[in-house]
Amino acid sequence: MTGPTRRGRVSNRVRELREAAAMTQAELAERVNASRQTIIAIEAEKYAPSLELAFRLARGLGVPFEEVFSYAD
Amino acid sequence: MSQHEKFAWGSLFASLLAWLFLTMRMTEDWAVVAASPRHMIWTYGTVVILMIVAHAVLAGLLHARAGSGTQKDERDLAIAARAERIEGVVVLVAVNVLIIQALAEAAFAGHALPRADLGTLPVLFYALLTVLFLGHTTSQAVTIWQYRS
Repeated sequence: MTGPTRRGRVSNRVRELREAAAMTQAELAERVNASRQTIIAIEAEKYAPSLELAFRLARGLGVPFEEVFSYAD
Repeated sequence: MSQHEKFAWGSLFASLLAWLFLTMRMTEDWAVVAASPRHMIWTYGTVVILMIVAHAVLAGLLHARAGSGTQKDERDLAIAARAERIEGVVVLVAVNVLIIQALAEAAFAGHALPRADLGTLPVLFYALLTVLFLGHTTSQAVTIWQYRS
């Protein structure tokens, strides 16, 4: 669920994929039209992005959506 | 620290200072003074101008430093929306407390209730402005808390 501080069952590999792509948080933020603070919060899983931002992140990292986000049962 | 969090800190301090100014103008020894309408109009105008100037200066300073970095993204908007919801709840509760207080005083006059004579204009004026400040400072505090948590 989207929310400013909610820790849900949605986990992500944004940090890992960003570092693999040799990209800074600021570069990724600019690419997906979000702030660096938002990228930091998403990487720390303190903020669950909206579906739209999640798709933009996957596109910005150049990988399929399901490689970035996963949902724990 | 994001520009929006810095703005929230600035806004919080500005509103606390404006409320202190209001309190200094309207109270003496923790009791609301019998201020004249002219005194209250001047106080109200000054508080409004203080808040407008403080927020314009804050916005200008942050925009000069950050440029396009002051644009809100979806997380900033979600944080602002949550802060506004909580502010609404705080104002709702505070106004209801004032209503219950006024009704209780009218219904149970002479009982050992805390006195706040909302029937007089200075007390009503001070109480309503304090409720607005309470709502605003709560909103800014919630914003800061969400950015930091």
